[in-house]
Amino acid sequence: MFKVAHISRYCLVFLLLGLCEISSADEGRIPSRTAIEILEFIDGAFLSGETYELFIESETYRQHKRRPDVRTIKLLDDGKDSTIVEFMDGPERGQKVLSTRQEVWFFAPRTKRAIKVPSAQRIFGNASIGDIARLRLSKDYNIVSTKRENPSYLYIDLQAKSNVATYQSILLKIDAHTYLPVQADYSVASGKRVKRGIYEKTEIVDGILQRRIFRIEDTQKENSYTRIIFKTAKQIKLPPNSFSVRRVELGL
Amino acid sequence: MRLFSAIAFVLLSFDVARGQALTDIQVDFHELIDLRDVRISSPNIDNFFSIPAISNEMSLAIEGDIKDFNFRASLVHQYSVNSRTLGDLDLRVLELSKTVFIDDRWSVFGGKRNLNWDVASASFPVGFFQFQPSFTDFTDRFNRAEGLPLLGVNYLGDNYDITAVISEDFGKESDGFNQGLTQWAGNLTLRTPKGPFSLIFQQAEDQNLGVGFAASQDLRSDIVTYQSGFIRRGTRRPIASVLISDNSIAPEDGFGSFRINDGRYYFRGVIGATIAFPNSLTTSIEYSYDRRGLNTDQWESFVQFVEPLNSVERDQIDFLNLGNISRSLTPSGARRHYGFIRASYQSTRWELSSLARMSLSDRSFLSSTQIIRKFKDGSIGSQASIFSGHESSEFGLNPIRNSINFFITCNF
Repeated sequence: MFKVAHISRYCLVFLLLGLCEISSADEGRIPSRTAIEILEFIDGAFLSGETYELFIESETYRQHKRRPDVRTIKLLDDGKDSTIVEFMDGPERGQKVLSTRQEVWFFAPRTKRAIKVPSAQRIFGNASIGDIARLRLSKDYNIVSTKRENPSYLYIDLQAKSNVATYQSILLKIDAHTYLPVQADYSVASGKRVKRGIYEKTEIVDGILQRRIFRIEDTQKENSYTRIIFKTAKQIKLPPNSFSVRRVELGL
Repeated sequence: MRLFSAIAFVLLSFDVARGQALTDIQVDFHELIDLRDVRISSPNIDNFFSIPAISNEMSLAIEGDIKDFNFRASLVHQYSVNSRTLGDLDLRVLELSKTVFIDDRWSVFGGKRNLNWDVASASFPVGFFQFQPSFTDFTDRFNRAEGLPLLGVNYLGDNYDITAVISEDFGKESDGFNQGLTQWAGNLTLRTPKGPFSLIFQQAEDQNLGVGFAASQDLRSDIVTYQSGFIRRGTRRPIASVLISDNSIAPEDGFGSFRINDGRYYFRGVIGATIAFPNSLTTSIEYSYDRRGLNTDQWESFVQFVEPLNSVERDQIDFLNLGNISRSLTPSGARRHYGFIRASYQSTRWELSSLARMSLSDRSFLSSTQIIRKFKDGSIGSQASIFSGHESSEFGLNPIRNSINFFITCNF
């Protein structure tokens, strides 16, 4: 489905990581260039350059509630920096969110109003727009430091390049053997950690890292969490300007 | 227009039944019960506005895409205790439009639809083709957002887009705002690194060309700011003639667009911000100004005119004058300076929101709180509203003192 070039990129990343692991074992650090490759690898399909459609199931669990609140969400991604999220069921059905590198717009289905909203705004459960659609680690964040605390995990400390990024800093935890992401701690401008994202299940498809199950925990709601279940992506063709406010307003 | 609506609804129903031409469809049912405490005072002498204490509204709304047409229609049944009748059954085609994408950049759209150019929540200086929602129903839960008949063309550039629109609302009488109006407008929107900026031109029948703008910026990931404004020489917004002349007896047609060619410039604008807090709380705050509204002198004239009617024996002329002058009290606001604040909290199961709109000139306000319990296939909720202020203030004079409603919606 995706280009052969991605497979070679994936191989290159692993080769570099392997070399890096050998060379940096004594220092307990990862060379910054390699860390960038890791981030690009984690961004995976978000940077594939291909427009694709992906269905997501969001399950929000609460204490004392046996059944989660479930919503189905359709995600259209241009493989670069823009995403359209559409709610498929529930009272939110028909609502859309367009997320570009610079801004986030909410579309009310009946009034057809496009309302510019902060990217930190929650859209469902503990998930904000950025959690599902907007985070491009390799593009939007600078690497502040890298470290290895024990043989099993690597840590990359990230700082947002812009003050409009969804989170101002992210501490990324990576499996030192497979280089797959394990978890991410998200903090706001005050330095307060507000969420933790846990990569419960990931897969590599055609050389591209695909998130399958991503769990989001809110630090202020200890007894609640949201699981985002990513279904299979399907490559689609859309006109080049599909990820613009006016095009979404007029109808895709 | 009702005949057109009925035919359209029947045609849509046939296609729905066949299920062939539909690519996506959704049906919503809602039931709304409204209880009101009606304020009997000037200008609502003897319940002049005939506001029912209890009303009931039931509707079935259908929306989707049919043969590449986007449509929304609703079948509404309204009943009020005052009228003691079986109520009115009304078919409304809220939108029926089609967009044709000629190529990657050009598109043409036409039909009855909303086109939203404004950026604010409670005031819409450049919202010429958009439904202006009630302060108590921002997301149009009850399917009232009716579009305007229009034809437009859009060009999408890499960092800009241009839209030209012409609209003739042939099915309705002019209300002094967007309804019943023939108008054209142009919009050039630039995508700058700081956010979008729109330059807007609009001209309505028998009026001068006006110019406006709309802009918004991301200050941080949790704060968005926005501004919009529009200025034109002369205004079509109707006003009671007694408020702009010394004549204390209003003529029969004493409410109209008397300022359409008065040579004055009328500006209206809004500035605001939306802040998202980490705990799922979102707040919007706005200030708006509209020179077309009543100034302090005109408002005092308004009060001086309606208050004596409350204490003396009234004749038919008095009621005629009252009818003219009371039409100055519009839902969008009769005066010039307004503040607005709204806070909302959303979880997967609950939605809680509270808002206040303040008339800054006399410190009166409307406040409303809504709570909704959401389910996978619908919701139930309740909303309470209070109109408060001293007896000569805008919201203190409002014919409704307070109200509470209960509603249930089902999505099929």
